[in-house]
Amino acid sequence: MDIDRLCMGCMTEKPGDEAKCSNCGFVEGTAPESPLYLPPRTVLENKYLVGRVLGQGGFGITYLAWDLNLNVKLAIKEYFPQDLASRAAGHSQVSAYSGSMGSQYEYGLDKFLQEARTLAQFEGHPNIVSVRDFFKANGTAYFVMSYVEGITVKEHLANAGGVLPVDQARGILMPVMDALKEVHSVNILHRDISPDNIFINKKGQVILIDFGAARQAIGEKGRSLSIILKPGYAPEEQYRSKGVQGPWTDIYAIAATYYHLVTGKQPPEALERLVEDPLEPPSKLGAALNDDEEKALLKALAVRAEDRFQSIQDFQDVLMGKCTGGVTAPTPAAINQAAGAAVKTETEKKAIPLSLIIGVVAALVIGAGGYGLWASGVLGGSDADVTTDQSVGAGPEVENEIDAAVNEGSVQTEANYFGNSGGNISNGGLAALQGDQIFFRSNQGGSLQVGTSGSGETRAISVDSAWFINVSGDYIYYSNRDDNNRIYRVDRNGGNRESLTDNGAWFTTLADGWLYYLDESDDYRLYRISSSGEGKTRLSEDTAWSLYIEEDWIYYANRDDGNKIYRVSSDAGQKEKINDNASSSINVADGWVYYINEDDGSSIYRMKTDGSENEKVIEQPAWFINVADGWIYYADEEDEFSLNKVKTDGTGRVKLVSEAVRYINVIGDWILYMDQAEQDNIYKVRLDGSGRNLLESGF
Amino acid sequence: MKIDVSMLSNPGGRKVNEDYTDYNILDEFGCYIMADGLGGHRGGDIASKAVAKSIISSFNASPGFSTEKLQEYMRNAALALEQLRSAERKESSLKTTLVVLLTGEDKACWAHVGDSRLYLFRSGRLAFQTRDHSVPQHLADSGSITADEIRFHEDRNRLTASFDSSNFNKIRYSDKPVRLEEGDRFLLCSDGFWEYVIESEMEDSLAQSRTTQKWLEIMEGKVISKAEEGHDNYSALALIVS
Repeated sequence: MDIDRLCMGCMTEKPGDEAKCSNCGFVEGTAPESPLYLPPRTVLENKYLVGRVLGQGGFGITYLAWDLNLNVKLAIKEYFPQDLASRAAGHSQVSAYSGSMGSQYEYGLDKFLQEARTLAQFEGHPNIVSVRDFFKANGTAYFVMSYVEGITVKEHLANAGGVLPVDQARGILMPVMDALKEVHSVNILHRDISPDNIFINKKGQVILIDFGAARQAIGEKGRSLSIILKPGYAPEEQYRSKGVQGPWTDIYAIAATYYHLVTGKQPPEALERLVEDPLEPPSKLGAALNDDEEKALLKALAVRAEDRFQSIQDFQDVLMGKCTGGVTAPTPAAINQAAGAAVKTETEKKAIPLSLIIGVVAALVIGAGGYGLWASGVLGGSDADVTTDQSVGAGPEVENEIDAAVNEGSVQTEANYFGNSGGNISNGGLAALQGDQIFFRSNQGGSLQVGTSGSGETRAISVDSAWFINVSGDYIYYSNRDDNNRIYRVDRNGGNRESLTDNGAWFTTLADGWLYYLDESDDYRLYRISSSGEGKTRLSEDTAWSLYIEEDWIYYANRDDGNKIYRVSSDAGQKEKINDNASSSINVADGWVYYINEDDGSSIYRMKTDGSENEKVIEQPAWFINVADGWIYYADEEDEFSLNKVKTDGTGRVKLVSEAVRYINVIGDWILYMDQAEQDNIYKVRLDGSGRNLLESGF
Repeated sequence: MKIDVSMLSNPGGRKVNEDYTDYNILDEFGCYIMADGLGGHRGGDIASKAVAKSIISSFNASPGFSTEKLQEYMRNAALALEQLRSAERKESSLKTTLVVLLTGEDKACWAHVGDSRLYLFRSGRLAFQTRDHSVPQHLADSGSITADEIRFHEDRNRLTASFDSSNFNKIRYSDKPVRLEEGDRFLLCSDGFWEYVIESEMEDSLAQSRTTQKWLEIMEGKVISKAEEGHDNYSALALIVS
């Protein structure tokens, strides 16, 4: 083993002295993404070689590492509460801020070590992350964990299309509950259970990661810091400094996780539930739970701690069928047998159902493009490294079934030139049309769904909060609000999900195999990247807002020049200014550029694409224009933002909806919009203003 | 429509003032801001100031009145904060509470996040107040504690939302623009202010004052007389429509 040849990106040995690793693409000497990270090749305790960062959250940083004595891959978690301490670039030493921040830092550090010490007792437990070592150094503390390849349950859920069958969800959570029972028996709570803190390794074993003691400790002492809890999973007592926490705290979180897995919906935030509980029973959301299971789940999810089960065992007893429900739930023993037959697991290890393992193995095959997946404290849930490589092809059987179901409809899978209309992209890209399939941002946390025109049926594709949705060929492309607006793509079954950009993207528009977007990390300058995520190129030096592509030209409002409209050719070869007014909401259709003229009371204007024949279309302050099939749809500012349409020549104005609207999308026979009064709810209405309804009702 | 505005911002018993108030009036439009930076160590003052300044500059560049306009200012401010974070290479969070009031010729709308408040007094009486994003506010809403108990609750400092780009959907906007009436008064203030001035005192002092300056003066007197050593920054912006 030549340590100098060890790649800091994946800890495999390179064949020669080349800088770039052929396995993972990491280039030796690459500076860490943040100056706060330890530089790669830092050695800790004379035996741990630190590599790239796997994840970072508010309370710690997790690194890939190498044990120089044992020659094995590791994950090392460093205590690093970013609100309380900092580190100078290029240095290892962490220094806490002065005053009360310093004492909070010390308090959290103590808890971090205490937890490491306790967790170390469970070393070797199949369902609890293995703490092999812990130590203090650099003014902070570390714990060393085995590196495990696999995926988080959050990822698994996304791959599965956002919902899991009840059996499978139970199969995942039973081992977690078993592990929790043991942890509770020595008076430790996890305090932070959620789908991204449960890991499934290559063998299909479920592992609980990222215990939240240090985080909680800081929360307890914190002044004026926003509480960092996972909304939806954290029970109300965790929000209160005097809230009494116990096993019931973890019970709530695990029940919330269960609820999410089987319904596809995260439960509402516990504090909201205190006031008027909007929690819907899982069966109402389509989960196939029997009455007793549902009652048990709702009891575990009770808002008040005293109404919940007080021990994991009590909860499990009901779930495991020590009750008389009409439906016979498979026993854990049966689940274990199934799993045992498929995979070589040690007999005492608790495993999960066969179907799940197939899914996970498939995901790992797909993910085999060089990156391992880790078991570690992925604090804050950056799951960035779960990359997929669609060239690997065939998905698991489960997906093929869905495929078959989808293919019964008329699905057009040719790659179209545009992924969505520019008018929709100017309006957030809430939905995109392909054939009779409408891919849309749902009212359930913005998750991506698909509906078939005329059928009233909809189906979940991904739990990601999607906007700027484009569809082309077999893929849906979108900016993922759950992951800093990075562009993702996913196939129509929710499989092969991968992120294509490192940075956030706005106005993401797919045209002719390229994704054009404004890069959030580069002050919203215009970029393009191929639809498989390669060849990123900056097309203009200008900082921009709004974006519209037509005939190989990209139109944008140039923020460096008073929001005047510019256009640049798609190869960046030509650029020209085409008007002299502060403009927004650019739409291009039939040789005309339509825009809102901010220099003239937000009236709608149009001009030829070369800037000639500039004229006012309608004397009316407008917002969110969307031009489609000879009509301009817009929100009328003088009429409380009612939805109107007017012909592109300014005649034939009709009021369609009197509520205040925003983000007007035109999709086939429908107009989708958000209701200003209701924050994020999306409504649909026919092009003539009839049939107004919430989006859930299908198309 | 005439508008009388005054504001005050005082570090109180602290070294650094993390509160920031600002406003501007252009033609018939007005934009009024109260921000209280969070974090404790350096960062809080930066965040509140940056957000307030960004909103004022968006307003100056494109004054107008509508909830959409307000949302646009807020969005720009989130971008500005995000850019600042990367420019400063600050991994630590830049967070602030925020109240923004936007007025048009005869209308007003607002947005808020965190525990800085907006009060509207009409005909001398409290007509509306924002609900904090805080643990005790939720407890009060659910009836676990009374509204009066929010002020000195042990979890007073536990906010459930603040202004940053990841929290955007928690910002609350006024339902619909409110039509202004003569004599309407707005008070935007940080927790260090409202903690010591209860609502009935706001009304009482209102009755004793014809100008915003006088009104704030009387209320500041309450803060000073009640506050303990080392007390929080306090700031307020008052506005009378006539």
